[in-house]
Amino acid sequence: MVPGVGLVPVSMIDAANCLRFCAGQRFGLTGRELPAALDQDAALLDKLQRIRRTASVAMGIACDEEEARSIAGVPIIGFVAPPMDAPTLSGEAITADQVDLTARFLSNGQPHRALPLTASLCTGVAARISGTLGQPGIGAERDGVGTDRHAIRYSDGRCRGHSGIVTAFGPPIVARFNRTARRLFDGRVYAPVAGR
Amino acid sequence: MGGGISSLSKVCVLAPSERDDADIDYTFAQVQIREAVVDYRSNCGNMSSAVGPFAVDEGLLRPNGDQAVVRIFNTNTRKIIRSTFPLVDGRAATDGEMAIPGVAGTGAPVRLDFLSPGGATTASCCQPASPSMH
Repeated sequence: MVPGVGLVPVSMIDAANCLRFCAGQRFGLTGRELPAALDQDAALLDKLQRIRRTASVAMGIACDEEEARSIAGVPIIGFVAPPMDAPTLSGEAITADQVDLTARFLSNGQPHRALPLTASLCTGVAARISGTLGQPGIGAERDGVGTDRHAIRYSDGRCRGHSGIVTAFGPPIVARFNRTARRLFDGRVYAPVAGR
Repeated sequence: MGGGISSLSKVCVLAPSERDDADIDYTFAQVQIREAVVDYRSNCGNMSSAVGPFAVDEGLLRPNGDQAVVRIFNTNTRKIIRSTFPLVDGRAATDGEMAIPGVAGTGAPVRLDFLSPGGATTASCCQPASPSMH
């Protein structure tokens, strides 16, 4: 039960970072929404933040709503929807059969514009847990014993990962993602000395 | 620096680790964009991919051969991330064929293995808040 929002079915997961997500349908969302559209919907963002703060207390991250407000990074909030054809920020068309799930997450209050890694990891782990909101649509593509591959569709494309090599009934041992890294610039930052 | 976007308003602080199971200690800081607050309660997965290559290029560790395996201890979540990436002349390779949606061009792959990722935050239920600068 979320104050000002009502009863919202959610799944709360803690793997690499804390995450909670709800079904987008609950708020009249399709999952096709791009960040700019979400950014303009102040009422929706407020609702999602209320759910996030309630979840923060429920998960024991914050002791109360006020502390939850100050801990903006976690839990990450988002909503999920079934696979679907939809445009991406980069203009690439991704079809429903290329993904297992559609998801949108907020990053510190703003609609995430890229592929959130820990949120994807968390969602992948959720897919291994029976009864979570992400479970029905994800984890179908098996890649060897005990490993699930998943692809989640975001506004910026697809995030593909291995959600975990799991033991029979235990927690995930490892979650794997590939990325690239390149140094863009070097610089110096000058900061005042504390107390002066 | 980040143009007012939270995903570009992040700091990674690195140091050699004294832990037996890690080479590098990595602390992530999320600098809030609308408030003068730095949040240390979470990790950033995407930023984690830069930690291994940066540590090698800065000489924090000196792996041999054509591949580096860097064990990173993320102090925020108290979890180990194993980063594996190719080396060229002892430095992190940047050129490669890996394409990431939303990132221009291709690059050398950085493979991140999040070991035992469960319980990153909630294990420390309602302890005094981590240091925040207000």
